Amino acid sequence: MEYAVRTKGLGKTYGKFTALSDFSMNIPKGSIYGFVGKNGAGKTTLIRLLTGLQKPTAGEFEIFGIRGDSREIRKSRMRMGAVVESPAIYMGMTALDNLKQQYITMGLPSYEGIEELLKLVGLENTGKKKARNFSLGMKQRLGIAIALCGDPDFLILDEPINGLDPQGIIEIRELILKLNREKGITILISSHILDELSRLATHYGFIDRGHLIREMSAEELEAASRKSVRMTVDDTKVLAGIMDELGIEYKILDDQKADVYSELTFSELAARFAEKKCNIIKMEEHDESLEAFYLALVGGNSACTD
Amino acid sequence: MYRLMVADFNRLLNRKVLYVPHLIYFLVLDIIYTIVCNMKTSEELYFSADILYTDNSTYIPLFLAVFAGTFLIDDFKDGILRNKIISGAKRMEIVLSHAVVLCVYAFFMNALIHLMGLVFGGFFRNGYYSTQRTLLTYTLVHFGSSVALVLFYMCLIYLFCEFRFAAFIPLAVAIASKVVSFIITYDLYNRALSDRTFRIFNFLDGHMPSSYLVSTLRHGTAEYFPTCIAFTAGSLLITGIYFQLKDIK
Repeated sequence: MEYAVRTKGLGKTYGKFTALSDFSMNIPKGSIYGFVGKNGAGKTTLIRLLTGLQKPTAGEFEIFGIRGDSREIRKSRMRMGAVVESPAIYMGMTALDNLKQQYITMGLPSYEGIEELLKLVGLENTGKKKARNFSLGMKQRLGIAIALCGDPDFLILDEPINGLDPQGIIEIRELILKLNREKGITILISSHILDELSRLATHYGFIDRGHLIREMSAEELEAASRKSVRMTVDDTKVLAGIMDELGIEYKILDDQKADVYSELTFSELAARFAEKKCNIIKMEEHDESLEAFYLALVGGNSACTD
Repeated sequence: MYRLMVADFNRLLNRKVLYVPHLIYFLVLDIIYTIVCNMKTSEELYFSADILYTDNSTYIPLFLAVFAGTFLIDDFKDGILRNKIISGAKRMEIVLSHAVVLCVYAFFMNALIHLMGLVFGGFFRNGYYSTQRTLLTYTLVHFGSSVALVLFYMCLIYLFCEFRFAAFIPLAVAIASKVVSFIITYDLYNRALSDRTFRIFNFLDGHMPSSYLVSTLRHGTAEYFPTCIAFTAGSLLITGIYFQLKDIK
């Protein structure tokens, strides 16, 4: 398998604080790599090291086969675009001028492709509107457009959907999928919004307290995780009694909702609930794979379940 | 580095909000000066066009500080600098590109002031008191100290960019050094000082670029130019080394 990024024993300390330790990850070419971890787990630190904003204190990494400590790494970074924390935007300029400015900074020979980029991120009709007057979603999309200047092969997006409204989240998600599928861009997305990541990622890396605790593909995750049936009933106390009788594992969510972890025969279940004069209002398959897997990996009290 | 400079100059030219007030300010100031100085005054009060040529320079450090503060902090604040590094720019190139833009600004600032001084100087009844050679020395010293100061302000911004009010640090330093140089100059030429205090004040007066931007030059070019060069080189060196080693957030 070819890799866009590989790290080996990477470490970063700030004084006595260790942000990353013995960190080894592999991002396959063409993948959408979901980088999962709590706030402060070390996601942004790794991104800063890969983008050259900071230098590692231990270990090594390579981007497109070129080592991070090599002089040639700048050439690899030219094939890379990134939105780290907040989009890098000239607030007093229009979307078009921002892209022109990025073209100049990168030394690109002409402004060819700018219109296409604006169209790709849905900002082609912003005209003379200055970036400071853009919505958060528009700024995020402009940031991605800037990162896409020069046709990168690898895109890093650090928390790209933080603070976005539902419409903005959908737009960014569709854009990411489009970039990956149509342009074949390898994408590293760091996020703690698991539900959103699970809709995008083809590979996952789980980070906790500066360590990569597990790396796997979406298929492996699927195979490793449990499915559940989310039931909405009149009274979950009755549900608890029935499940105990049947010896089925369950989790009560509130007075009316519970997750049941087993294959269920609906007719048998319906008969038992009817016997206890309790109505089943709704039953649906609930895919909590990423969330449950993450919690099992790092334990509870997670900020990573929003 | 060329591409970074083009991008930075592009941004400079976009800042109409900054250079229009400069023009209005100096135009208004020069008109007022010219009118006031040409009004009928008592016989012993003598105004020459020199006052216009040199006095405007007093305000240069303040303009340089405001410009350096706002121009550079935008790069740090809006993640532009981060993006330049991600886009493959060398850190030293970023520093040098900033330095060039600031120096060019300092040049135009000086050119504007002195050009206006020459234009409005023609309206003075008494003409110029100084020789052309002296005026040229003034111009060179003013430009040299402007470069030294603006790069010193750049250094301050790089060093303290993470502070909330970093953009105001150069202005605060410019005002403070102006006050200090005023006190030193006043004490030096108007009060009886002890030998030791005199030597200290005289050294500071000759080695603080902000004290060069005043109405009279009190020291020789042998003091002025080496000081400006030392300030310029020192500021560039400190900024370069610090930024090269800095972890960007």
